[in-house]
Amino acid sequence: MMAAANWHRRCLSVLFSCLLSQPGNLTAAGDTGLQNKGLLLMRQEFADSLPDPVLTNHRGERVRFFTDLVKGHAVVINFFYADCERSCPLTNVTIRNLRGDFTASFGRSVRFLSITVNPDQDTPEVLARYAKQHAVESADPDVPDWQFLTGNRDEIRELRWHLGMREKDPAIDNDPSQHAATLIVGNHATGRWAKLNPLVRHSLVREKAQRIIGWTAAQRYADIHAEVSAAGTGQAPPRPVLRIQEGPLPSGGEEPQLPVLGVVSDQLAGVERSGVRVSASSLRGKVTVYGRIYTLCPHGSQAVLAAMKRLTDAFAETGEFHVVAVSPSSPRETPEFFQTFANLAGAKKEDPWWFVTASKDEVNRFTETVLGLEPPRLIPAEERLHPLEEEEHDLRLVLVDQEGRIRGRYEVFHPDPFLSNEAAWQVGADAARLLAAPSPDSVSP
Amino acid sequence: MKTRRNLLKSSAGIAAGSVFHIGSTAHADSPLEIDSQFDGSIQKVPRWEHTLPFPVPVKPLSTGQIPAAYGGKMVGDVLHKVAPEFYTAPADWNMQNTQYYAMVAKAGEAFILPPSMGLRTPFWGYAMVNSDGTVGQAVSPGPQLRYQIGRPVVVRTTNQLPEEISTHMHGGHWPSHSDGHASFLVIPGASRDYFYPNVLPRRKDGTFDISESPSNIWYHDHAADITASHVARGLAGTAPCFDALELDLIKRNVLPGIPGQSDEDTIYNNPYDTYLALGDKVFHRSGVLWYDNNNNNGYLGNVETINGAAYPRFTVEARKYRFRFLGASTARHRRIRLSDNSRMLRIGNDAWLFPKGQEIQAFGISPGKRVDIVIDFSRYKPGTQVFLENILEQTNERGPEGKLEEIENPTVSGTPEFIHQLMRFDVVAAKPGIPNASVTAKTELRPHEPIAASEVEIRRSFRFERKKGHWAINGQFYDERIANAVPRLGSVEEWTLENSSGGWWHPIHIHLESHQQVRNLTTGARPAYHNSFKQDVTMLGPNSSIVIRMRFRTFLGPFMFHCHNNEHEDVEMMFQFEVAESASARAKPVNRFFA
Ligand SMILES: [Cu+2]
Repeated sequence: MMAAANWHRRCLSVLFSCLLSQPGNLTAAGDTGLQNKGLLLMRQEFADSLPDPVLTNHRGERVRFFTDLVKGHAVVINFFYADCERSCPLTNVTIRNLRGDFTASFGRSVRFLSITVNPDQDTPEVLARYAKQHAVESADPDVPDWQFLTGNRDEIRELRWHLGMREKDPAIDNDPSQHAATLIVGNHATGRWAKLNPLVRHSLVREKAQRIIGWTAAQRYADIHAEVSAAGTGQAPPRPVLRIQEGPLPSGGEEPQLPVLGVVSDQLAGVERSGVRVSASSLRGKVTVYGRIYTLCPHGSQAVLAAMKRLTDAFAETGEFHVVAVSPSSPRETPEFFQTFANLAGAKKEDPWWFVTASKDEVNRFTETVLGLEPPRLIPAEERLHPLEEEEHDLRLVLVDQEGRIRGRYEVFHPDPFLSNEAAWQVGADAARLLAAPSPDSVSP
Repeated sequence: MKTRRNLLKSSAGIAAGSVFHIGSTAHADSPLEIDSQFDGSIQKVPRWEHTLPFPVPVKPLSTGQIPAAYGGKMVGDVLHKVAPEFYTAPADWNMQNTQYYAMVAKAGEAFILPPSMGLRTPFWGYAMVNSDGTVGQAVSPGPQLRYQIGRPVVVRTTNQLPEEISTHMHGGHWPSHSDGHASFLVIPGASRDYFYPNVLPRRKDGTFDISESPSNIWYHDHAADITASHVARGLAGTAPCFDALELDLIKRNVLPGIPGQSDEDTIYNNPYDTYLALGDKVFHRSGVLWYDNNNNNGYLGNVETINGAAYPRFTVEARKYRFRFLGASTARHRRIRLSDNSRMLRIGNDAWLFPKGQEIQAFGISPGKRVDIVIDFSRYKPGTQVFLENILEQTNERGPEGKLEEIENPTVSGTPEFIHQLMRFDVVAAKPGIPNASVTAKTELRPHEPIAASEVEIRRSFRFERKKGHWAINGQFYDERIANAVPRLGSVEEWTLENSSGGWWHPIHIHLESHQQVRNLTTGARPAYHNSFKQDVTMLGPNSSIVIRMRFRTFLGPFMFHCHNNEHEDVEMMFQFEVAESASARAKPVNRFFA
């Protein structure tokens, strides 16, 4: 199975390298109606008029921007700097995910180019270290290339301007963080270029990028073909019952089922803040939201607790909903400590909201093997914001249905407030759906 | 920058060559000044060489039965299907009268620049399918569809371009599937059957609301992420719509036309009534259009076009003409007047006629807007040349110079600092036989039905802003799966549209129905006359906040609202509202049933 998939990928790469040696053919193969020279120019002049400065990549190779990197390729470009702490890591996550998404379908026909806006500081050596940190080199020849590039400051600025990353106000233009949250995606052969916003849902970014990177219409519109073929057989659609002025509700638009991601098969052996031993099995029949909190973490746990509070307020009255905040016990974090802590978080005694403590090993076992959260990551000493803050935890909320099945994990704490708000809204919407449909469907894990 | 303009001013005085020349030719042949990084562009363009192209009205392939050109495929038997409303239309939609058309989006080539330059320009446009199934030449602006309220229309649109499209019929009242939703696409090689029922929304008592009958519709591409480059390449067209009230105004020679001809037949032939689609472009020296794909602030051209021709002339009889001005640029705002500063009669805003016209000397027009104007050339002696002028300077994408109130001021005092002539009218004697149209500022046109505060069910607020180099609404970006507002079918909502930016201009377009401006929260002012009835684009100048009310009738499903600076719209100052059986105060997943 694996071997076959790999063979297929390898095959694609070979196909692309053949095509790429004759860029003219690519356009003919992928597009319709572009035999006209003027039309070709209309689409390609944007890339053809880009500057061609010599840059140095993190491997120390000197490359020309247009001639060696863009010509005949699809590219995903971003401007970054190695010290960037806010937007760049998020953009890097998007790039890493896109690289994974496109390995099988596009292989090395797509290139990821990260160009520093701080070339004086980001020397090839700094970039080499940065690339190593991000583990960009891969032994798999189908993983798209990801290069970090530096060069002459003025030439990079001119290139950035030509790529549309320019602000009228020089103060904003010179602020490198202003350019960090944009991907420029282009395909030299088809002439399609766009700026993409990595701050939206990842699947949106992927679909948008695929429309540009795709060499054939089938690749570009794979998502639409999938949706259309799922919706019907291509025959005339059945007559829906549709209200136009007064009448019944539309019958179509069945909402997609929430996936089943796992089962809470095991107990958490812990103590609630009331001092009572509790077990997860007593929550069967209820929609339950689990989350890990960490009393030292100032912002992350705040977001988790705020989301838990909103959910409790929204659904406590149903009597069919429960929230469980899990935390490792310590000499400080006793049940009594959690009584005060819960009061501060806005949890009332009668709320269906537990604060459960257990040994650290037990909490790790439960969150990793039962809830499917990521194991804690040890924070390097120099990155710690607090001397006691040793580990970084997966703070996603986990939604469990009446049957004890895991139906979603939600990143309610995310550096981008838009994404954390979206996640907080989504967990509520999904919980409401589960509560509205008490008789579970027959999907089995 | 000022230096170059002054230089141009000082080179004024080119001979006009006309006996009764009115207005300054100071800027003849000189390009508009823009902040562009592209320096290989054409600068000098001869004036008044093209004759004004009239958009070509087209006849339906058939009425009441599916035409042979559909190749035996039923309505809906194409990849992107047809609106569900096509199957459930009530009896009074008159489906037996349905007119069928077939259209293809494809590439073409034409003289956009004056023919003496010898440079043909490739563009993207629309072509009609003939009754034998052959496809005509692409034109831009596209073929003109002429609608009548009470006559449903199906247009089978096929995409022969290499990129996805979505055709938005801007100004009408359509099913969600056929409205040109940014994510309800026509992918290359595929077709969508657009269903335009041409019905009016109903009042609470079930009668049709004739105040909502549109006159000035236009269509343009609306595909998410690439609308701006598609519109700039030419994917736009015009579609006037007529109802009994407006046809009667033409029949009685109130509005310009040939009575008995312009109010009859399937295409309402009318030599005294045309759209003027205002565009601006940058050309390579080869004549190829230049578009900066990665400038998401706005595309400004240095060459002006009307109906797809650079600086045309138009021979007019000494009588009244109706001009349906259309802001077809993606980012340029204009303030339009006649070179002698004489009066025009403004009879409508966006799609809709006013209750009564307004005498003006100038009007502002942003991307997406329509301004319905009657000009009476009977005041000029035959042989007179009078110019259509833009007197609003705009050199960068942020927006024009000046305040919105000044730009929209109906009177012009003094000599404008900036004048750019767009078209020359050559006045000839009126043909005998048809008296001049009678419309004046006193004539009753279309009644208006204001929305009362007591009807409002939900209030929402939308802030249009810049965020990390992209364009956001309430800090969020367009997501095809999220309905950012969910109004109840048949309800009224009040929305506050806010632009907190000090520099940027955002023309906000809301689909489905007209909306009514209530007040400007920033200045406290009531809307000016032209904004006090209906519009589908509300102009938000810098630091302004405007309250509007809107009804959500007839059709369920998602519809767009967004900035009509198409570059802003693409990244991604666009939201959608989904009309549903019950309202929701917060965002919800979109119902894909309507795609
Ligand atoms: Cu805008």
